[in-house]
Amino acid sequence: MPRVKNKQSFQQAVTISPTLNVRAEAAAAPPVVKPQQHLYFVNAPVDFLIIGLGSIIAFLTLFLVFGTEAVPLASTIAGWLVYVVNYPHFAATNYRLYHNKENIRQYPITALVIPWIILAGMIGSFYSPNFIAVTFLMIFLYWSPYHFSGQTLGITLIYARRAGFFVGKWERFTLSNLIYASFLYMTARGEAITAASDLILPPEYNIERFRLGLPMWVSQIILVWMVINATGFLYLIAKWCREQKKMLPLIVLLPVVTQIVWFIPGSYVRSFYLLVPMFHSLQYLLIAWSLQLKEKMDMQKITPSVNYVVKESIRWGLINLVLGALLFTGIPYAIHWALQNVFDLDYPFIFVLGIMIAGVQIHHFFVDGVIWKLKKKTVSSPLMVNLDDLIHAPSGSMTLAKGA
Amino acid sequence: MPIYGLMALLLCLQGNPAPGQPVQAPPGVKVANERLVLVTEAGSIVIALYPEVAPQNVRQIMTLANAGVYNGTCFPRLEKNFVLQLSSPESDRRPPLTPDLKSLIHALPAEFSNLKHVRGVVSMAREDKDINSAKSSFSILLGPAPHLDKLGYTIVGHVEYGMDVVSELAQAPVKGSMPKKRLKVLQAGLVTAEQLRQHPPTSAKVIFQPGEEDELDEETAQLARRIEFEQNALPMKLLATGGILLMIVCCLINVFLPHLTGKQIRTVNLIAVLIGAFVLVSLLRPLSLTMFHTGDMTNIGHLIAIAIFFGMLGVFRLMSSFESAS
Repeated sequence: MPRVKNKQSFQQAVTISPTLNVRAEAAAAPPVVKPQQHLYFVNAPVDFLIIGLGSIIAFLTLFLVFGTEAVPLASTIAGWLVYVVNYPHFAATNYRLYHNKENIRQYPITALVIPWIILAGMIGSFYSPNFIAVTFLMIFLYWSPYHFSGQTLGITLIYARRAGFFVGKWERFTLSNLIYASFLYMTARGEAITAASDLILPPEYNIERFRLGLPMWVSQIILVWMVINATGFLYLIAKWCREQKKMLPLIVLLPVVTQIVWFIPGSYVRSFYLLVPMFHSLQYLLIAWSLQLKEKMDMQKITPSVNYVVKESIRWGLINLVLGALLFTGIPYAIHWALQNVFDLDYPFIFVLGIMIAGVQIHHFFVDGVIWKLKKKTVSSPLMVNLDDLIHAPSGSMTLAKGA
Repeated sequence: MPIYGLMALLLCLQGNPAPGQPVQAPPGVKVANERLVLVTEAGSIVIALYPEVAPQNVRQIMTLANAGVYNGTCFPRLEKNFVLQLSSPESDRRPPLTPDLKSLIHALPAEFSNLKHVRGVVSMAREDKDINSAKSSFSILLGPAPHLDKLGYTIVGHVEYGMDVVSELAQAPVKGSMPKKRLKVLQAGLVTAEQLRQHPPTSAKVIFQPGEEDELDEETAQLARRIEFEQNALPMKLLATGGILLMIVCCLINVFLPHLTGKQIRTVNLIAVLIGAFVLVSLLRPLSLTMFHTGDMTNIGHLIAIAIFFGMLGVFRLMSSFESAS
């Protein structure tokens, strides 16, 4: 997801669109007619549902109906959704990096070296399932919510930009600390030990591991830090609203609120927590989908139309569905078969799947960290796109922008 | 064995009449006059040994039992319906063995027979890949295990009295194959058949109630941590060596590929950092656990855990600036 290092790079990432031409630093450039800046990728109901409202409703429903216990229904739903949402979201990253040579040329180490390093980690995990596999799994389990947090920050900044909310040094500081603290709190609490009985975690993918052994006060300090930053961020929003004499659109705050629901109360509701990766994937797919449509349209100079959006969405969706199934079902089965029949190693399939999932996801975290920073002009993140731009022919502003 | 030790052992055997008759050895198998008795919290297990089937293994067990080597050991492995295994006194005994007692233990050659691995059989534990690696630890089978007949394990005896005690111990809640409570061998030694007749063993005491709290006790937790540390000694060395070599390769790439740009050099350096972090986390994680004691807020185990936790976050942060477009 979009990772933004500072205000300047954020602006580069989200505002340099040759067609929309909404560069914020364009004050020095010849004046152009600014097109209408859309707040949403699709529209308010769809964006709200996908970015967070859907997951908050799911959390409340599951908590009120089933309490904190895991229910088979949630596992079944999650089991189906991984194929429809979660696996395709990993596939989308791979497709985006590898489907064109230019991307591979731009990021040769990520595209061509990192897979070998991850493969070494996977081979090490099969060699030592009680030791190397444990660290490999642990890195994936830590990195995953960290990566969710990066996405939350990126989406918040996109919506802030769309809403015209100025993200200065302190806004960014409090916002990112608030987001990362929620992930840190959840992780630190999960790794804390107060009694010997806490030591061993339930096995994941047939891999048993010990808790790290953090003292409980670490998570409590993180919680206090989170509250301090939340207060600071809310103060800065209130200040902005007072100065601008308008309310900040709720969609800007929704990703943060959603992440807090996922990681603080949500982590106690086991049936809901299973679904969190699906909601994260949905957010990702919404943005990757609109970006894919916009990029292709710009690069191939395709005229916006409903037909284009429908056809390209189906094509892109199918590729990701198939690639996702291949990555997380076909390849693990093939590896399991090879381990059994070629190397005479009788590992349970669930273990092989776990190592494969960890490997693909760690690769995804790397790719995701670089892929959203494409600087080539023709593909420079058209993250301000709206569905209207994709289905309707360009207005006059477009012509002016091209000519400018 | 000192006389007070023998008296204590006999006292442990006394009590309620033993349930049922002694289990007989298979036809044609001669049983040693001295029986090995393991006293546990659930009662006593009496093992008849086969000196003609496995002379060297049985002699070693008797020597060790007489010297008190098995006192303070435990059953750290329990696989329901399969096996209950005694710990190796050299690695898990409270208190640890003195050097003199340790010197009594040595590797034994395999002594195979046509006897079958059935419920109640006692056979020597050994390393998977070395049939001549049995030393002191042995297992009691909780059910038939015909696959072991083909794998080459030395049968040294059978449980003559106390399978009910074994069954009670097998009720222990487990985490994987490790009992969550330390199944202690309070005392172990040899008694003669005559002494056994005079002091018949007690029936099993119930020590595990259904629905009992299913928590790992501190002793077992420490054992689990140590086992993880010891079992992974070889992968640890390999990982450390391999990791250091890969980091050196990364440095050499930077030195010998002069056409790399500054950004690429940074990325190669980040790969070295990633490899180093992986090795460090892998090695420190079990180390922190061996130093961890519940309740102590400032011990070194906690500090290492905090360092790993925030260190990993630092690495993720670094990785988010992994590669810029070239």
